[in-house]
Amino acid sequence: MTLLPWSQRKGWLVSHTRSLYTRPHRPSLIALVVALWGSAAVMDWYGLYSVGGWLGRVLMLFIASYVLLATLGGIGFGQPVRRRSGPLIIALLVAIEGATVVALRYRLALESWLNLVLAFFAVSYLLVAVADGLRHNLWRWRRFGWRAVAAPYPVHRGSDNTVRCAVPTGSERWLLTYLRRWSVPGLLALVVAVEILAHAGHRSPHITGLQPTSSLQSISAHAGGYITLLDGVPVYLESIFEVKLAMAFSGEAASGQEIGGPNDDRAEYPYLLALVASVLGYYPATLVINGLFWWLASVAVWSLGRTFFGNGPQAIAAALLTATSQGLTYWSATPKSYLVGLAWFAILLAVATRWNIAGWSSAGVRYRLAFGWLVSITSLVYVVPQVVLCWMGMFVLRRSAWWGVLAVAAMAGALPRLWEVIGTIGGLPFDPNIIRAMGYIGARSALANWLEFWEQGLKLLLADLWNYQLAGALVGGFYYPLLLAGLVGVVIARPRRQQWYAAVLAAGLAIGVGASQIHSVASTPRFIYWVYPALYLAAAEGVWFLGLRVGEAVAKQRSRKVAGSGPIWIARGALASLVLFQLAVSLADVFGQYHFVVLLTWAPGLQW
Amino acid sequence: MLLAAGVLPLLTVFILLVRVPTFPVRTLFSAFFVVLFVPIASIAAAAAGGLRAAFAVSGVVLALTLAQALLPVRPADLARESWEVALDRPEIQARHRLALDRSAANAEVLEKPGITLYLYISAELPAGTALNVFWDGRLLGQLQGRPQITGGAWLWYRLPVSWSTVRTRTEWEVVVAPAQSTEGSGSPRLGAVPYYRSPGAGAHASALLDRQGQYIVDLDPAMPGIQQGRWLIELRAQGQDNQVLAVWY
Repeated sequence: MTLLPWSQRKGWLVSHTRSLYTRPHRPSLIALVVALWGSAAVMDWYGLYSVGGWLGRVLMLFIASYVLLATLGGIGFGQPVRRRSGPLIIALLVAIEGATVVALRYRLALESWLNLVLAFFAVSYLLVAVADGLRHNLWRWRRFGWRAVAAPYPVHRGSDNTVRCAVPTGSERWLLTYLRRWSVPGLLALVVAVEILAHAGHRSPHITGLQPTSSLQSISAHAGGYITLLDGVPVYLESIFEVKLAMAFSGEAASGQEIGGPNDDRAEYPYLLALVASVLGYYPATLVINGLFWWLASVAVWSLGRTFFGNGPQAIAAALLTATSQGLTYWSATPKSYLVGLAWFAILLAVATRWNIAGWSSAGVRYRLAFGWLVSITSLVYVVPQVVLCWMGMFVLRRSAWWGVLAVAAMAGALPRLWEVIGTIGGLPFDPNIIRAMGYIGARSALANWLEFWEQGLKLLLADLWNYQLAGALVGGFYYPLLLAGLVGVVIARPRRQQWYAAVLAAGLAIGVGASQIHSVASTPRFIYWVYPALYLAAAEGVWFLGLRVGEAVAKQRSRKVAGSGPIWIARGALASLVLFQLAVSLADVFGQYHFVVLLTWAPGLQW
Repeated sequence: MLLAAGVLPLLTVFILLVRVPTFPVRTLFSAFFVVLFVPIASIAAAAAGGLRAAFAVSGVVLALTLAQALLPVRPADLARESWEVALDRPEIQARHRLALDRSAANAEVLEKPGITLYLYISAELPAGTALNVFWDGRLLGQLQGRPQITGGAWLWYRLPVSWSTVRTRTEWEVVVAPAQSTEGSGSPRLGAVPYYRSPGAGAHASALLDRQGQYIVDLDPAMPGIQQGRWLIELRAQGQDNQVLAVWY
């Protein structure tokens, strides 16, 4: 495969062409959205929701489909309206819905996946529509009230009106070049290693957070936590399923009745575990695999940051925030696939950027299929494909051929089913009592809830978002300074990055809402932690922006020229402070302060 | 890279067939499937970082697969997640030594005004059965009826422990025994979990004895490492609103 040169990846850096952000909302879309909520409210008021039954549902589905069509047709980011794709999308939605109904009727195994896709797409477009409206208005406000942020590094404006940061191309000696190239990944590896070693064994937040002595709340957990012992080391109790499957892959467990369990669908992690355990043993293999993927996630965020900000300090800061991430720390010493799944999400976002999956110039067929393959593989890790598909639906679909997204979705949906068939033949239990029951009940309730969203409009959606305590989960996962910095970053970001942030954030939050339908502890930050690549990048951008503004204000106060290097250094200091704060938060539990671990375990406001 | 990706599945199949002659074909098939997809995908992902990264990933995966072939199988030492033991004979007792170290943190908790000490025991008691709980040889109370705590993974009974009982010593022996014969009415069962001596927690695991004090080792043949386990017996200091301030076992 040949990679597209950087010069073809336009639109990401600090500059942009005028057409990227000047296209206003289509009035018809606003009218449709208003009509949707209005009609839903009227139906709700007159009780048609309950009286109309399926008629109302079908009507709402059609209206919703039309809103999706309008949204997909171009919500105002300067994208050409894809009118021809509209009927196909409606046909796709109807097909999904029809297949779902059939699957529900005959209790087929497809219903869970189909409903999740439908649900994620539905909520994605709702969220992005709202976010887009806010973005557009904020952008207009900013154009009059705020100045653009100066680029910290020399930039060149190309003939296509695209600005790129200057890339040093000197004739440095190879060792210097080598050190420069690997200095940031090396630093990230060092930080990740320190974090994971500091939290190994009984210090794992996944264990201490589940001890009543740490959480200070639970009277139903026991003092040792929710643990089992692996190689004599306490690990999260439900790790037993992954370890058993790993034992099967290593040839240790020979009986088909003794291997696997409810997490047989997440076979990639046990495979990797078996591979490394042959050299190191199981628990050290856990630390190595988790550490490796944690490092890869940091590098992926760094790569995204370099694409967004050039070779600026924001990229390094975002990567360091990932390397000291509260959530990744929380799952780092657990033989579960949570951390690997979260890491895969950042990796896929970075790969999609480098392969121009969501680029202005379309990627070729090979790239799309390769990306689909990667996404499908992550279906053997965790619910990564659902998040990626949700993100693609919001960000990629409008600037890329629909069949590419459809191909990715098809591949991502097909592989887990294929694995279930083959794994069952191979003697894995796939615990049908749990998986099928959860899938069926979850799919049915998810479908009903999402249809209610459409029927009752924004009021119910907002109320449910609040009731599901997503805000508490965000606070538990990231805490206030990061959230505030991320909010600033999202608001001040250039349009395309802003849209990327919004898509990743909405996809992550949509998973949280979706999971709340099938999981009793949906408010725990695990289900919304998918937002971390966007949040860390936005936080770095936001703090950099604030630092520059403060620096300029200070310079003005002192009657000095604004153009000096003072503001840059203040911005760098602000970024460093943010990273140090995150480092302190991630290591607090090692020194006996379990406040942040407790927040990750029991999100504020969580009720059992 | 492609060669490595193509060779990997075949190599793994070969390894598993040679290394583990009794390896079931069906499981082999499953492993083959995962091997077919995961490493190749990893290599493809690494291709985003350039050909050298892809080669590096290929090499690492190949090396690990070879290591899997050449090194002896490392068995996973995995404890059972939890188990239950029936106190189905009146002569059987569950004994546990509670320990409380006099650390500054514990002293601070114990000096807080308004704390209540409870002895928590996880058990399932069929109707008509009861368990006597002895604290250092003296009857502390009897467990019967419905458990006080039903949320979460365990059912908990609790008995209040007076502050004066705890003040003078740092170690106590708790014994749980059926209150009467359980024939015909089901057996009381105690919940047990793997034991790990975490910092600040107690020092002793549990034992199951008969009335003569003999250690009973054959209650759970599936859990030979029973010394790793402990009965769910804990002493908790709780503040107002049932907030758990400290737990000792």
